[in-house]
Amino acid sequence: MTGRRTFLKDALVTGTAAVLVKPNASAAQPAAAAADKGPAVRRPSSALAAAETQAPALDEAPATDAAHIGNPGSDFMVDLLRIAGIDYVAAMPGSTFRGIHESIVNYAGDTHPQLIVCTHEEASAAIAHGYAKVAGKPMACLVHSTVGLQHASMAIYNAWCDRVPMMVLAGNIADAAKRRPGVEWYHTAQDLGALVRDYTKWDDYPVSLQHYAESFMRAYTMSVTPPMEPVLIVVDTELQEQPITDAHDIRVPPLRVASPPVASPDALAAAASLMCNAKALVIVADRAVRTQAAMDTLVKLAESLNAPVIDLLGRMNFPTNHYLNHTSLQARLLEQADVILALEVGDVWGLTGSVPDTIGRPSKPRANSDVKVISLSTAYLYGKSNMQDAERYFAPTLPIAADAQASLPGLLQAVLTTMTPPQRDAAGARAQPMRLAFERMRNNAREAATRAWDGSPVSTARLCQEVWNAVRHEDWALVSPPNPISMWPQRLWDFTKTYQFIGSGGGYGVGYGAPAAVGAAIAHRDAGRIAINIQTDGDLMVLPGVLWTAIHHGVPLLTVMHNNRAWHQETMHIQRMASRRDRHPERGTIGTVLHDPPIDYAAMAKSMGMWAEGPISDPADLGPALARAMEQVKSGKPALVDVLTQPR
Amino acid sequence: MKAHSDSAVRAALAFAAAIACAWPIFSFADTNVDARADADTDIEAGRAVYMQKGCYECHGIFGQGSVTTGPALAPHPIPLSAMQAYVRNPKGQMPIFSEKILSDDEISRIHAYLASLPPSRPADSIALLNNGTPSAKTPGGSSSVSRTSGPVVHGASIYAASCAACHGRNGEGGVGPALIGISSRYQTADIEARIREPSGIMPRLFPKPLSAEDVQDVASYVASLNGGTSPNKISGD
Repeated sequence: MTGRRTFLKDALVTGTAAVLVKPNASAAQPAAAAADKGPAVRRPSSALAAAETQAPALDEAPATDAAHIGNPGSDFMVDLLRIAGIDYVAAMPGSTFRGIHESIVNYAGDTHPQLIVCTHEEASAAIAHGYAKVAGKPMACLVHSTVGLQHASMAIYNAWCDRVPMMVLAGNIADAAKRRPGVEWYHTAQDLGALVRDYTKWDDYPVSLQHYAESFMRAYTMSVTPPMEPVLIVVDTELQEQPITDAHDIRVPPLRVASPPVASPDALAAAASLMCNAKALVIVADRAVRTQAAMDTLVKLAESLNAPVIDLLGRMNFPTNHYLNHTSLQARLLEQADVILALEVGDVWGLTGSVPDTIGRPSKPRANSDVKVISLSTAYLYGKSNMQDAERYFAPTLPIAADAQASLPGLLQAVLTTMTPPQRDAAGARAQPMRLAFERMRNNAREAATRAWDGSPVSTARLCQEVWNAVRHEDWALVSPPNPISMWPQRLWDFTKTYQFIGSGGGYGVGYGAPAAVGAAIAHRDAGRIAINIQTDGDLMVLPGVLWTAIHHGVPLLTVMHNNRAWHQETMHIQRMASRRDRHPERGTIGTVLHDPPIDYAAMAKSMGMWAEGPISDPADLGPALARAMEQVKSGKPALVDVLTQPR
Repeated sequence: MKAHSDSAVRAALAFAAAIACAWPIFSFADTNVDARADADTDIEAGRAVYMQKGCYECHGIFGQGSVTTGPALAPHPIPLSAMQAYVRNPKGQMPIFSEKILSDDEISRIHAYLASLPPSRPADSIALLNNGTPSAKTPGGSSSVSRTSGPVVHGASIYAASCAACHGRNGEGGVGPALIGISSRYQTADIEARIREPSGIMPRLFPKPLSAEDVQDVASYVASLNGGTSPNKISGD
């Protein structure tokens, strides 16, 4: 008979070398870099970590009397989290997962995994979302059956759209005879997974611990295999709370992560032929790059052909200071392209056409009708029908169903072996024009940034450059999307590492920004970095409780409010409707602004124990305030600076 | 569909005016817009209309524009006649503004406001747009704050970008210690040494992004700080 201990050891030995962990991130970092950064969330010492990742004893003491429970099922569930290398579990407390909650804090000692205490289940899921994009591995989030999962659902949807792995564990009480009258009936669903099945890759409701072990491993593996997506395990309360009755019969499958799908040699050869024969090749990358090695390979690929790169910023794909990063020139590049290489582009149709927001919404071309499009994407491998995140259908010249990151080395090799001497010469001749175009693009951005430089409210360009000045000598990372701030960081800052930008938010569900920044900052803290969040006010008002989570767990996160006192995107929408209907554009602010009364974000942060200053409206005051804030952040604490800003 | 009553429209206009007034008071530092305001009511009226009609939403309060919402309108707006023609028959995604909701007179006032806005400073003269090393020749352009302008002036520009946030815009101190009068306690060479080998939370800036010459010049500038009589006080950024 082989016991649980043996099986868990086997699982650890064979499975913990998960391939999705980013180099230079999270677990790949020296433990010393992460230790002692925050008082509330600590990484274990290497010795302690080794001890904790040993399989726990199978034969925990059974209960000595009928009034107690020994060796509960939820301890086993925590073992599985450890096997999967899940360091954190984000949760707002809820009674349907009280068993596993208690196991985390007592059985695991609130370490590996450690609870990240949240004030809303949407925050739990969004924190897990942001964390995974930086750490390169999932965080788990525990949610409270019907009510908690519905709260979490928006953030799960964002993660789904963003192709991000996440382990969602939801409590539930299957046996009607075990539910206490009243609330527990409201907090139970017959098919809980149905609530989020349209935007999770897989879900299950295990009825035994053996079933749980197998489902957990299947769920984890599916979640981290491209296209990565959230998964859900419904965790029955009786399974959590009752003793393990069949411990020695449980077989825990080893954790074996699947290799990502790689494009076939024939497909790569066909792509290389199209690329090498192109007169005006453009490379477009969206959710393509997960590691520094992949970014470096993409740089080599672009350099080999001197092809301009458009980074759509689903991920940090290409260095912003590289002479082939021509992102701001994308309209002209797409118009002139004869071949487009699209790497994990979510909206391939959108590369060749657009639907402007005008009356009738007529489709308009962006590219030549005879442009050849190579689309290398895992989108061809998996999808669901209800949510329309697949974007408009487009039939590329050469669709390749594979993971772009995993296929990049092969594509580079195919290009290098395909290129003829004349093609090499042609590529070489493109270098100088590309450098000049890049320099003009960057300089134009600098000149555009000068407009309203000394104005008040503070321009978003000034805001970004003051922040850049405060952090550029640190090991920094931007953990917020750049769209609300006119893309200034990507236009002016030097991003050279893939970890320096978190990428866009997925489903554009408002409320993602603040919690995702906290989750990302936890992963950056573990890697010894400082995270910067340029935070919109409308987004923060959805889940302001994440400020408390950041201070509670000692997360070094610099939050700089882009406080334009509005849900400004919506202000523009209402104004557009009014103008189109020829009536009262001045009423577009009704219901879309946040300044009557104005919100004091610094006071809000201070009320939760966070260092904060503001509101700042004079740009001359911003630099010193940021310097004071950085003093806090460099000591391992979060800080917030509220800045009254221009709309965009 | 019901039309708004006159009273409702008046209430809406009052609300819009209140919005414009409740917005953070906007101003340009180091300009004389306020001084001219009394003499030029068109500018003030134009600014109010610009806010009330929502022009600021896509083009920015100072007409600076955004790559994500709309082009810059200022400084140097297009001629009034061209602006009127475009507003009545816009291209692309800009919503149309008929005379019913934006009169020609209102467009004229908006134009007056935009034309009143001062020109921007060149990017080369703004240290924060030069990575704190304004002496470096920037891509596509030349530095107007180069070392040829004199080591102290050059040092002042470096100070604005790399030192002022902690030590104060004019060396009065802040997160970092005050530097005014430091030359009474330290030689310039000592200041240079401190920049080269910082202690505490002071960031290391040498050899990158500051060169040896940059360190010399900023040390010279710091040594020149004397509490208000220096001709080299920073007035920008």
